[in-house]
Amino acid sequence: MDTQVKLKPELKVFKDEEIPHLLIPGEMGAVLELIVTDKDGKVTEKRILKSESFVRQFLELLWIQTVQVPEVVTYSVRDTGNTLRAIWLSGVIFACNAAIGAVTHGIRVGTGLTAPIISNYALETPIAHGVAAGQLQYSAVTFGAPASDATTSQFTITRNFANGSGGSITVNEIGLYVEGYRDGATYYFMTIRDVISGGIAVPNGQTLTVNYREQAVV
Amino acid sequence: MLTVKLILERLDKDHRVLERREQPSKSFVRNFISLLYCAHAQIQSGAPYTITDIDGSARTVDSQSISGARYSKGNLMIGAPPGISAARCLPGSDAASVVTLMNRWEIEGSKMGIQVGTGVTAVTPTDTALATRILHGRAAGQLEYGGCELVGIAFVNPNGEFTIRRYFTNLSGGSITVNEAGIHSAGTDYNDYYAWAFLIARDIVSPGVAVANTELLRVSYVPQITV
Repeated sequence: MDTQVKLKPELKVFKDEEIPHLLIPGEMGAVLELIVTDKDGKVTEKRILKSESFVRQFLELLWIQTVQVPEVVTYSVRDTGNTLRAIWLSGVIFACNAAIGAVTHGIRVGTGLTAPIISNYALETPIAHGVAAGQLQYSAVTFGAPASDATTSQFTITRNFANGSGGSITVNEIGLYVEGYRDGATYYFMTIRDVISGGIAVPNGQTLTVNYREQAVV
Repeated sequence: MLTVKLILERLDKDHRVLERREQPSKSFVRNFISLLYCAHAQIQSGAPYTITDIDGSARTVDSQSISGARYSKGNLMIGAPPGISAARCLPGSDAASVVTLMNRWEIEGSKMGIQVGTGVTAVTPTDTALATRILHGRAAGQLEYGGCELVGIAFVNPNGEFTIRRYFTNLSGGSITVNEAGIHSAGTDYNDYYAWAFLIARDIVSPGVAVANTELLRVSYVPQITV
């Protein structure tokens, strides 16, 4: 099995100062970059598209933190396991700095095809971490610091998905899972879900790099 | 995608609407992205991220918080009490000195949340303050800042929204023309227990809204997501 795949995320193709412009003035969203590389690091496919789909939990977590919803009140948000969790303001809200192999939070990928709706709380068919059939190896999540040009500000969230499964895997959906907190417990919430038209195939031995560039445009 | 509506309503002293403007807010600035970055990346106090505050000073911000403080953290806070009342932005630490140094994480209520000004300079992503912020008060050129409230979170597929709202009362004795609006939000420092206000959005209102003496201005920002 060809499992010599990179698990260390890299910001490929774009340098930090090169900011893609797909959003229009007044939009705050994300640009999604998908890059497939072979075992030698050669880019075999690259796509750049506008992420369309902040889902309900993004606005709810933003609400909790901007309001500073207190412990004595709480606000219930549906977690990735389809359970409402009464959470409150915290320092960990929106955290997606997942370690290697962690599938609770960070960027996740899946094979589901159903179009996003605002109430989506998890990927339709998440791909597990591993090297068995149908699995991808999840790297740690890394970040590109904020940068801006004349119109656009952004920061970048990056994760690599290496295919050592022995067969090709087509990724059709991508999501961002983040943390929230209550009383000694951390819960996980999906804030973005995008379905990729036509999917993106990751052949065995190759690596998919996903960059979510969260942007605001004036 | 997240977009924002900006609504300005001029009211008489009996709260009757005299004028209403609605425009798309075009202007989340870099500091909003920076505060989201701190949260997503879980920036810790050992390597904080530097953001320029509303006074033009570089401030170190992190997302660190600990169980002893019940992980409480004031980052991204927008809601604020009126006028000179204290907005307390929790720094995430439970050190005893957090209490004795409370002045470090208190911000004047009027300096948090929705802001208005008279400046007309075009918005850029790197703006860190309104061009000419109107101060809280009753002196010439000043408006009284009410509390900044956040209300009405609601979802109807494919949309979700909530409202950030503030009343400004003109008791200055003269007319004041508002040409710009914005939002201040908090960022905090775990190690030294500081909180600061950062400009996260700024919009030009053109033509400006002239608020006569005794009138009120109700400013609402409505963030909306659409799938």
